[in-house]
Amino acid sequence: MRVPRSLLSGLLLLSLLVGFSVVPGLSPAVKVYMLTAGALCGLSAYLPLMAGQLSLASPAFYLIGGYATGMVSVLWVKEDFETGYWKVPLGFAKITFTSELYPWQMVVVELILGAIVAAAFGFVVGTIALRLQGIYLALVTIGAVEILRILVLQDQIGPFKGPLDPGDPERIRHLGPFGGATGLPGQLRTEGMPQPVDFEWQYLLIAIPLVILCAYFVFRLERGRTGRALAAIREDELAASAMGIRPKYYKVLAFVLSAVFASFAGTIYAHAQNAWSYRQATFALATAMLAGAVVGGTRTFLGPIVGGMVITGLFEALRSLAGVDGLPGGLRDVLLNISPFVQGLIMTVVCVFLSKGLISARLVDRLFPRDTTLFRPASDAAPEGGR
Amino acid sequence: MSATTSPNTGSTGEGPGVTVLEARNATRRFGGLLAVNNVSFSVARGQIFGLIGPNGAGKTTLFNLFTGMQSASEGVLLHDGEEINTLRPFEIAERGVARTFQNIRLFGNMTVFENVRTAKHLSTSAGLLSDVLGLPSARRERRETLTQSWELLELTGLTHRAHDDAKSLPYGEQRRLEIARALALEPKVLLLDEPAAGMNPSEKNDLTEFIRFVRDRFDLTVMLIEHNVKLVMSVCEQIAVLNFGQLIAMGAPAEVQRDPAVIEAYLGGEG
Amino acid sequence: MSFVRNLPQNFFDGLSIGSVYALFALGYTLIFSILRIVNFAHGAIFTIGAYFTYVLTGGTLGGGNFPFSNTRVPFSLNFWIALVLGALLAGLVNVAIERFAFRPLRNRNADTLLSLVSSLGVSLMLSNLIQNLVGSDPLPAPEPIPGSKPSFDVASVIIQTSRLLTFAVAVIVMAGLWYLLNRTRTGKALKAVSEDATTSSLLGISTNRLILFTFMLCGVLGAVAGTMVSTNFNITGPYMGSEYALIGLAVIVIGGLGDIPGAVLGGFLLGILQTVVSSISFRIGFWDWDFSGSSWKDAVPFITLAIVLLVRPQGLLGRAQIQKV
Repeated sequence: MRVPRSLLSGLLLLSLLVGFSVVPGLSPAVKVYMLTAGALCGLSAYLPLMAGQLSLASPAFYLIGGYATGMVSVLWVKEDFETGYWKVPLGFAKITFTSELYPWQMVVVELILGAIVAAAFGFVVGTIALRLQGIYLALVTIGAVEILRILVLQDQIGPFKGPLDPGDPERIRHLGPFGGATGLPGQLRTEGMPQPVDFEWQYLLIAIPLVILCAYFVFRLERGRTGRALAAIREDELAASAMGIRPKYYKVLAFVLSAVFASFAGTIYAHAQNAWSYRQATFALATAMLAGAVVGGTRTFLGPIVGGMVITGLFEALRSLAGVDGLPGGLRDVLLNISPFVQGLIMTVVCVFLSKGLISARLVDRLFPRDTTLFRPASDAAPEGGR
Repeated sequence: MSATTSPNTGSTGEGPGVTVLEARNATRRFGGLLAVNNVSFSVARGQIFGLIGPNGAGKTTLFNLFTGMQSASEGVLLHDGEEINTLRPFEIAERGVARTFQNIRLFGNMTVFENVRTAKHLSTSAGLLSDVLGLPSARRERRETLTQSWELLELTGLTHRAHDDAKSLPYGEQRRLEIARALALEPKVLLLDEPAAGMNPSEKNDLTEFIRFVRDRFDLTVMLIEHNVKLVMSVCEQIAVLNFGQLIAMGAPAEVQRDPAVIEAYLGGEG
Repeated sequence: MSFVRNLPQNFFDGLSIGSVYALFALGYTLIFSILRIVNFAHGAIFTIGAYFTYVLTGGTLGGGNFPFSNTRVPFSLNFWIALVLGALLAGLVNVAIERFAFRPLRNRNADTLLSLVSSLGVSLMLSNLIQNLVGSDPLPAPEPIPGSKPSFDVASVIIQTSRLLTFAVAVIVMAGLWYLLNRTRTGKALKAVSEDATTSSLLGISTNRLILFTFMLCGVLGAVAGTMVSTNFNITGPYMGSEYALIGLAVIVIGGLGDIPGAVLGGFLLGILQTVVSSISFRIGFWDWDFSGSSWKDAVPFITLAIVLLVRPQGLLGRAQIQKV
């Protein structure tokens, strides 16, 4: 059984990757960039699953990451129109970056700020959702996304009104603390989000190290004490607590880490998207993230990474196939619109026929052997009196 | 049957031991049902203490009260003289009380080795960062954990199974793994809930010796629930008998066996 | 205050939409009560029901390059006949979902997470299928009673005919369901299984047939809800059910998962709360802030849910579960 299974998943993966790489309309850099965001989304969905928690809150954290990017790069950091330099007002001082490109250092600041805010929000959601499991938890996390969406859409929250609308000649209308319905940069910058790079491929200089770092982090976590505690909670929460594992602590931790990864994905996507609004966080995105994790396999970190890439790659491949010249209109419409169907089909088929996902834990154990054979006693003859 | 047993104050027939576990008028209700009814007894340090009684007598519920999995409706539960009524399971584990489960609750999709290693949770302290960064302290800890986990597998005769999924083990080996996992906590008190259930006769014989062996080796106090009367009589130094949630007899195995109330409960229950 | 003046109106509108929520949520809760799983595709069934009724009444499908664009069936049925037939068809779709997305998982006793993801997948497929077959144009709703007055006044309350009909249909269907569950053999069996699965399997109730029947029934409930909503707000597109899918879930958790009266109570509660909150608006002069409740309308189910779960985790009418150690 094992051979056809790995053959099947291998073929599926290969065909998707080949298909994705040959689709026209997208530069290779953008393709890889989207895949990295997909991988981060997959990891974000995976972390709560490690503790057996089904969370659909990741789009909320993703939204936060993107808004952190928008607020730092549009509202905080200002471009000096004479020199083209970038200025960061700090209250007591003003840092000037003598470059006409948006400084990459500020992208790092965005990543960190987004992660902190998302982690705080993840802590709150995780704490509220602590007692809940399964469908209850899923619902509360959907609710968290919904409430956050509505919050960022508001024209005013208490005393906070946000920046003045430059399109209003009387200079009295405000855009809302988060740019309102149009989002950021909205009316504030006609060029869209400031770009930290000259060429598209340079995005990868940020995105690829980030994904590798995150993957390594989750890999180490999975193999360490924290990962074992999470796995124990997933297997049997009560037995885990009888072993001295504090379920609440680890569940909240998983939520917080999930929030951080989703916020990273939001930050790196926001620059490439050129704009950010509440529309980025949808229930469809939540299902896509979950699909990524489940399709890839939820037993080891590599599964969600691969699964997240597969789902993202699939969407982009279908979308760019529709851009091929000379397609009949009907086929183009179908290609443009069919991706939810394909995603749904993959989700159902994987659940019904391939419930462990594309990447099995055994494969990862073979790629990265466990340390358990270390210190194994030399003699296999266990003292029989010991039984 | 006579159900009035005067609260035992902890001194047993077999020499004075310090009381480790104690129940004072412990009561647990489920709706109108009294699963544990006004039970009082104490377990002395180093003892192997048996808890027997017909099905539904409240033995497992009593274990759950001691391990924080259910809370007492009335009465007090003590460990080392301190009240533990409101403690949660992991706090009980932190106090050095480990247990096994009647309806085996292993981490089924983890390997045998990982089951034991996971239970080393409390004797290790690596946080998220030291794990991820591989700090020297975490590496040292890892070496100790691995060595000790292999020792425990060797002790329970599960070395050859180390890399199999726990759920794939036969029943008897699963029971042994439960014990290995509980021992990994380096407990001072070990609660065994029907450790011999599902074992074949030769495994049961081994178990008797094994329980004594771990008690001596790890300096444990053992409390066990068991249906197998032969096993209980041969291994336990003190026995408490429950029926319908009430303590009906307590004492050394020979005394308990002669107790009319016990004979009545067992024969009445079966007839 | 306008809030108080509008209360009767909001109460009526809330009752109407709440009755749909209740009807729709019953389809979730019945399946949950016997299988302990959530059928995420229920929202798609809601949409499909509305489309079926629309097609059967002879409505023309939307424009564009889709296979069934600008087509219509060569007959046009009376709305009520179309409603019944459409609901039965949607029930059959639901039966197919059970057969292909749930039963294989149940047979190998898979994790409930998988059935959740699997039905989410089905839900995406179904809605997207509609989109790719007929496009996503909004469609005008069929008129239940041709030529009837769109609304009339009772005291100060404007009664919209479609809302009144929606309420009436929902109540009639719920009464029918009550009769089915309490007075018929199959219904009683269903109720027995929903209350205690192990005992009823001992009583020799054939579970697989009963499950198919339940999916059929739930499909009908969802489809009727979808059609009645479309008579109020038109068919807004292939994803019209997704909002209801989430609200319906909130309803059953608020009422108590798997609890039938709880779903009805939760539905009406949310319907009324939502309409009332939408009508709230006030001004805080100090901050120069006009707060408008209507922008928070979509958050009402989830905020209510969070409060209920904090105060009563088992839901308003649910029974607390004792975990066996």
